[in-house]
This record gives sequence, C-alpha cells and structure tokens, in this order.
Amino acid sequence: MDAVIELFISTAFVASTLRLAVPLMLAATGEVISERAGILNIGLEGMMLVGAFTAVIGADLTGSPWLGAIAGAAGGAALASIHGVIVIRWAGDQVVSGLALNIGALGITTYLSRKILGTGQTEVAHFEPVNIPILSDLPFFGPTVFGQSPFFYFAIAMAGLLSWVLFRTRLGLAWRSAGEDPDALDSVGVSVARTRWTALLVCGAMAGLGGASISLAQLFTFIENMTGGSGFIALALVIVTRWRPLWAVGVATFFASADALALRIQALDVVAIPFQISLMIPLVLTLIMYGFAARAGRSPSALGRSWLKS
Amino acid sequence: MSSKRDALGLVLLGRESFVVSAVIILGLLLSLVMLAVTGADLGEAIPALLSGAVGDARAFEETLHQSVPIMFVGLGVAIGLRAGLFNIGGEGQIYVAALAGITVSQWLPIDVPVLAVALLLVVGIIAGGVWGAAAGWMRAYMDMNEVITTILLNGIGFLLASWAIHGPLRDREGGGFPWSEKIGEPFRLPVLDVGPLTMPSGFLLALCAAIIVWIFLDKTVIGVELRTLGDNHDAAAYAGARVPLLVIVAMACAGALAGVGGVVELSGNQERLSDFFSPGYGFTAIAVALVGNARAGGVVMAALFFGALTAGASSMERIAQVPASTSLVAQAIIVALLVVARSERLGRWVRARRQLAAALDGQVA
Repeated sequence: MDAVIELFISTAFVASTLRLAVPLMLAATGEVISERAGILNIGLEGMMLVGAFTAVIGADLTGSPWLGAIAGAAGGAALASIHGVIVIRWAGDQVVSGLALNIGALGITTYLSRKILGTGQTEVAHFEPVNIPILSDLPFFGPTVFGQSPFFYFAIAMAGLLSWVLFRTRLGLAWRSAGEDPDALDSVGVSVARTRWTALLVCGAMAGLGGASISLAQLFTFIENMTGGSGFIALALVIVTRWRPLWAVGVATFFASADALALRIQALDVVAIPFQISLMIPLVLTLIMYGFAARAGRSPSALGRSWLKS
Repeated sequence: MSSKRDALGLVLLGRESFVVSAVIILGLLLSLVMLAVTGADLGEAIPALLSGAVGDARAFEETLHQSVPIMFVGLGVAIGLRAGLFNIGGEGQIYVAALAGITVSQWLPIDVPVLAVALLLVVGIIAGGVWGAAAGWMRAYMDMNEVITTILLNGIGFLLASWAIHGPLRDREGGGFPWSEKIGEPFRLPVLDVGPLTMPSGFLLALCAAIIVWIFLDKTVIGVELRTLGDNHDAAAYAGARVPLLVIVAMACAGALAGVGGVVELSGNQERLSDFFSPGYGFTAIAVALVGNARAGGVVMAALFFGALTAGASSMERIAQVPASTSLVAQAIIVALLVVARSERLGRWVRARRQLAAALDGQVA
C-alpha cells in the first residue's frame, strides 16, 4: 500500500506529470483553435518536430533560449503556412496534406540536423525552471507546481487567453463560424480564408512552441524524431477536450499523469510490469477517453471541409 | 492557336497518368534543388541514387525488396480509400502481424516449406486483419475517426512487438541486440533467379495480391458496395448496404494486406523482428496508395517507384554522404504536390477552362 501511495503522491510524480503535460497542452490548445475554424491539422506532429529543431538552431545561433523559443514558434508556423497554401488557398485534402507534412518534417529535420548539428549532441542555451516567488515556497507541492519551466506558465496563460478570444471576441466568433458555417461567415462579408489562416498560424506557432518545450526545457538538444508521436497524442486529446482550449490543460495533465505513472512504475520497480506494457497505459487510456468523448461531443460542422468562394 | 494549345493542356490535366508523372518529376526536381541548396554534390549524388536503385542485379533486387512491404500495405490503404476510409495504421498492423508470425513459427516448427509459408501468410492475414478491424469497429459503432484510432493502435502494436523482442522472444545469442531469433528455415521466402536478375519471391506474392485486390474491388458485389460507400455514404445506406459491416470489412482487408506485408518482410527479407523492423512502411504506403490513385495497378507502379527511391537514397548515403532521409522529403513534396493537383480549386479551374474552350470551338464552327 505504501508503495502505491508512493507512486502517486510524491513530488517526483507531480513534477514529471507537469513536465510531460506541457508540450501536449501547447499543441492541443493550438489544434483546438485550428479545428474550431474548420482546419484539421494532422501535421501537428510535424510542426512540433520542426519547432523543436528551429528552436535548437535559434538558441544555438543567438545563445538565448528566449530567441530559441521564438524561432520554434516561427518554425511551427512556417510549416503551418504550407498546410494553409495547400488546404486554404488550393482547397486540397486536409488529412493527406497533414500526413505529407509529417513525413516531410521528419525528413527535413533529420537531414538538416545532420548537416548543421552533426551526429554528436550539442547542448544549447536552454531554460531553467522558474520559481514563482511566494507560491513556490508553499508546502507540499508548492516548489514543484510553481517551479516549472517558463513554457508551463505560458501554456496555461495561452489556454486562458485563447479561450477568452475564442468565446468572447469578434475574432473568436469568426473562427467558430468558419468551422461551423463558413457560408454564413462569408455572407456577412468576413473572409473565410483569412479567418482560417489566422487560426492555422496560431496552431502552428503553438505546436512549434510545444516542440521547443521538449528541446529547450527537457533535453537541451535536438534528437532525430524527438517528438516521438506527441503530436498524434495531442490530436486525439483535442477530441476529449471537446474543442475547448482550457480543457486542453486538464486533459493534457491527466494524460501526462498516466505517462508519468508508466515511468514511475519502472523507476520504483513496485510492480513487475515490463516497460513497453506500462507505456501502453496512456495510449489505451486515450483510446477509451476518445471513445466516450466521440459519443458525447460533436465536432465543428465544417471541420475538414475545404471552402472556396463560389 | 492558343485555344489548341489550351485544349491539349486541358486534355492532359484530365489524365491521371499525366498528372501523376508531372507531379513526380516536379517533386524529384524540387528535392534535387533542396540538395543542391544545402551543399550536396549532385554530380556525385545522382549517379549514386541511380546505381543504388537500378544500377545492377543487386540494386534491382534491393529495389524489389523495398517495394514489397509498401506494395502490400499500399494495396490495403487503397481499399480503405475507395471505401472513403483512411488506414494510417499500417505500422501497427505490420508489427502485430510480424509478431504473430514469428511466435507461431516457433510454436509450430513445420518442416514442409510450402505449408510453413502458407501458415505464416494466414497468421499475417488474421493478425493484421484483427488490428485493422478493431479500428473499423470503433468507426462503425463508436463513431471514432479511423485516422486517430489507427494512429493510437500503431503505438500499441509497436509496443507489443517491442515488449516481445525485449522479453520472451529475445534472441539470447543475438549479440546483445534486442531482436528475435531468425525465423525457421522452412518459413523463409526464397530469392528467385530470373535470367541475369534476382527477384524476391515476396514480390510475386505482392503482384498476386494486387490482382486479387483488383478483382475484389472491380468485379465483386462487396467491392462495388465498398466503392459506393466511398462515393456517397448516404446513398450506400439508402441502397440497403449494411454500412457498419462494410466499414469493418474494409478496415479488416486493409489490415490483412498490411499484415501479409509484415510477415512477407519477415520471412523474405529481414528474417528477424526488431524495434526498427518497419522504418515507416505504413506511412510510405499512404504515399504509394495516393500516387497510385487507389487502384491496384497504380499501387504496383507507385510501390516500385518509392522502393527504387528508398534503395537509391540509401546508396546515396553510403556513396555520396547525402543523408537517406532526403527520400522522405521527396515523398512529402510529391504527396503535397499531388494534393494540390487533385484539389478543388484546380479542378474548378480546369472545368471552367474546358467550358470556355468548348464555347470558343462552338463559335469557330
């Protein structure tokens, strides 16, 4: 019993949960915005990977992790703009375009990292945990929750901000209309294409930051395919959030806790579960959560449908 | 004059084979530009690429080896696409099938080669089929998008195989590598001599699979029903098709084909299961199915092309020190261009020009 308590209620467990949740929060929040505006972005994984890469290059060149993070956001947004040209400008198939971007992102980051960074691992300027004054002195989990990397606070702030924009501002109304009824949006004289572009670029930048949070706040370097499927997980989590940005924080944290549990089980060696089997827990859990959400929720009506002015 | 030139262009744009060839050539050119810009020596890289793809008998065999798994999986993706479903689960289906295959080959060490290979194929069909059908069932009865579920099932399938080769199936004399023992001799698919060339027998099996898929999709009732489902979901339901069943059948077929691809790769090429058994065959197969326009014949051609590209790229890495991951970039560019070529806007533009040309012809006459 003590072992079970040790598994869940420990600062190490909370710390690794929050650390693992950050990239998912950022990417899932971005995808919520994009899908709300009607653009399915399967290329989320690729945008995270490119973001992780450009962030390392940026931090390496400038010596500043902050500029690195901006480079990460820019890298994600750049890949998103290719998606935009294909699916908004040309009204091409959104799923296929996203898949192509994932393959391309893996290819180009692997290629360029060997060209630029070489095969050895170069540690670059990175983020240290930031302790929030007073709060980080709170007992129990204070130092853990309020001693995270800047990405953690940014992710939560962005989820709040984007939730407000989505539900309380004109831009948010336009995003939601572009995803529910683009014809209606067009009929009141707002450009559907421009509206979808802004949502998609926000998504790309958020995914890029998600990737940067892995390379600049966890591993301090770039490794081939280092996002390892986080983008695909975030994509599934978006359905569980039922397309609400703030929920992305909770859902990502819940998923990350399962992931952290898998790692803890290994570290503590309390139950004899093989590593690979414990890694399946979060995937199976996502599948189950998705199963419930798929029946309860309704996706934006025009999600995945291209729209051209007639 | 200009209307004649336009007319020719419009006819060509309407031809799938022309569009695909143009996209491939443009995609390859853009990839070469990328290589040149990043400082690769094209004078060294291009000959290395060609010699690795079709330079000699060994290169030719390697190209065929590379095209076999993506041909099988691509045929499965094509069946899904015709039914309006997207099987992104090739990776997972390959791994569970190969895992089932190597396990059964150790349980039932049959000595008769023909029987052993037949058993292996059946096991691959069942394991891959179940993995695909699971996604079909979730789509049909739980309203879960197969794009997401197959991606999650990929992870689960890979972890199952990875667990087995780190644990119960690990080759204890494998020099410390986490991989399975080699599959038993009778279970292996031979490489055949064809005149001056050599050909993996798995390639013949893949061609047979292509013929079966062609007959299935074009000549059987259920194949026609699947295509109706892909064209118009509501119409298929109205016409009395059992939509949930069809969805499950389509995904099961897709999974079964990927599963056969997995066991054929196991017995005809790699012979052991490892963590890097599939270097993304499931994803390349999607490019194969799309470039092949979801038709059996097209898939065969596209698989050969991408197989040659992969074989050529690894020789480019060996000889010209250009990372093989460039073949992924080429794949991505080709698929992205293809999406644009088949996009709504371009289709609309071609139709408009066609109407204009027809109207002008009417005036002249």
